[in-house]
Amino acid sequence: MENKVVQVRDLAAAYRKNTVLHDVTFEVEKGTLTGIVGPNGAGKSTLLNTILDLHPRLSGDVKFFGKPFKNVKKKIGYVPQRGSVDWDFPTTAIDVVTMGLYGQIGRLRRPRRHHREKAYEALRKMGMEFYADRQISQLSGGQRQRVFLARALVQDADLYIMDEPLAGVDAQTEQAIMAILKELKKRGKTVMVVHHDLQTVEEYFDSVLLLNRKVMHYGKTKEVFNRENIAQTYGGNMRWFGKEHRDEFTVHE
Amino acid sequence: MEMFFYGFMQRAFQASFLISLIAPILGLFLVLRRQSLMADTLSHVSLAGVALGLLIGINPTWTNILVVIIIAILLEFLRQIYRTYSEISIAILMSVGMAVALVLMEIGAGRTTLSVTQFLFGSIVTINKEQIWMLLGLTIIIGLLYLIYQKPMYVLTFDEETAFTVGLPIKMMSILFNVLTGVTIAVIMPIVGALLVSAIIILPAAISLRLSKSFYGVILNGMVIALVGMLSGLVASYELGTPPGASITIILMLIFAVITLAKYMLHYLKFDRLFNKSQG
Repeated sequence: MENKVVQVRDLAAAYRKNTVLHDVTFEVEKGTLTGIVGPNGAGKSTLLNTILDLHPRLSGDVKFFGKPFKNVKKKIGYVPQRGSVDWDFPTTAIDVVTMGLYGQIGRLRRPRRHHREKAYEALRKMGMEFYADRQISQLSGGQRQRVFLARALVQDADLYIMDEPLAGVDAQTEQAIMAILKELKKRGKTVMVVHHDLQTVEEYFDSVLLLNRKVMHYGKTKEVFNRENIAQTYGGNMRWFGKEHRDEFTVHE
Repeated sequence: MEMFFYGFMQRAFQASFLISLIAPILGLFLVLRRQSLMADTLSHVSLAGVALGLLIGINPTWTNILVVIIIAILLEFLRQIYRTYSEISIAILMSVGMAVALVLMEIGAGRTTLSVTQFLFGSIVTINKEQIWMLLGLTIIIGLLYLIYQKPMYVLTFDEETAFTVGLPIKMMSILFNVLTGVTIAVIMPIVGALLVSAIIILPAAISLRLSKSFYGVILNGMVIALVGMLSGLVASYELGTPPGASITIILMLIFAVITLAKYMLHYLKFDRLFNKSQG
């Protein structure tokens, strides 16, 4: 059981009276990079929120590292959607990253030099070291996302759960983030990412979870991510332009 | 400067100094938590608290604090229920507070020499030693709690979801914050008046937000702004015989206008980099 980082069994969740997720069962193994993919309204964000107890669950059982979430919070780094926080907040990029270190700094102590250095190092990894003292409202969408990632990195978690970190970012940011995710995986960390771009799934993730209110397909990307399964997940809303043509998927919502 | 020889003016200056220390801290969190109207609600509710105290013949400050604490806790639960419409609970409780205050006042009319008008508009003549001590105690409590909880509060205010997932006691912190805001309002309301107490808490932080890029910068600048606004407001109130709360609010608004104009002009003259550098 050591190898199982996330175990979800028969999970169901609802908004008001509408069931958004039902019969969700899957297990994530250590050291994998998993993409969670599905159409709009498939419940991708709800899935993350529910397993992290941010959204009430109707039924089911969720375990991280074999234990309930509340016992292993420190081992989990969550990166919410960029739009979920207030970017007009009076704070600088480096202060946001330092936030990720609060657990290590302790409540009454001030951040020490090595904490500051660690925060700078994370910003450097994201190519953001020259923006450290910039107020966050002055950063672009991609730069904000990189600051968010840097904050998660300094937390030094074993499992990272990220909600659409690549949505609406520039190509440079996307590359920087993917490089970090691959490095995390190499260091034996486990990463789960809600992802929206079907074209890059094969390149980015070694496992994929196709979600549409329930788990449609889940497994190694090579085995699961094929035309048939994608069409099934997206229903009739997908047009396939042919692999031999331009290797392009277009999704019509 | 004869005004400094009057005991009530000395107490008013002492109170202003203490209020200037706590208002920007509470104000900044209220603004960032999108709860700036909560201060207004609590001040209306605190009128009901005062009216209750006058009616049953207990020191109105104590009934006031009790009522406001209950409502502050209630507000947090309503905030959780109406997540997306958090202003609903604020609007409802504001009117209910006012309505209850008016009814209690009418029932109690003629039973006491203290008039509710005094609490509506505030009066510096009525500040007594006990209030100064209470304010000092409150300042110390808020100062200590701020030192202990500044980091968790900062995370909670910036990003409530992450605050939860890293295991911070978010409910307890939110309730404690609301309660402290309520008690502060109850304590300073007789001085500056129920109608304008929220302005004195919110405005310094709101003005300071335009000046500083860092969190601590906003709080420190806010304290300076509050101090300047409150002291000059008091002097104006004494010299012109105007109500203290109103005088302070108008001066704070003037500061806001001057800073906004100056910032705009500096920006226009391309000096804004110089300007930003001088801020913490």
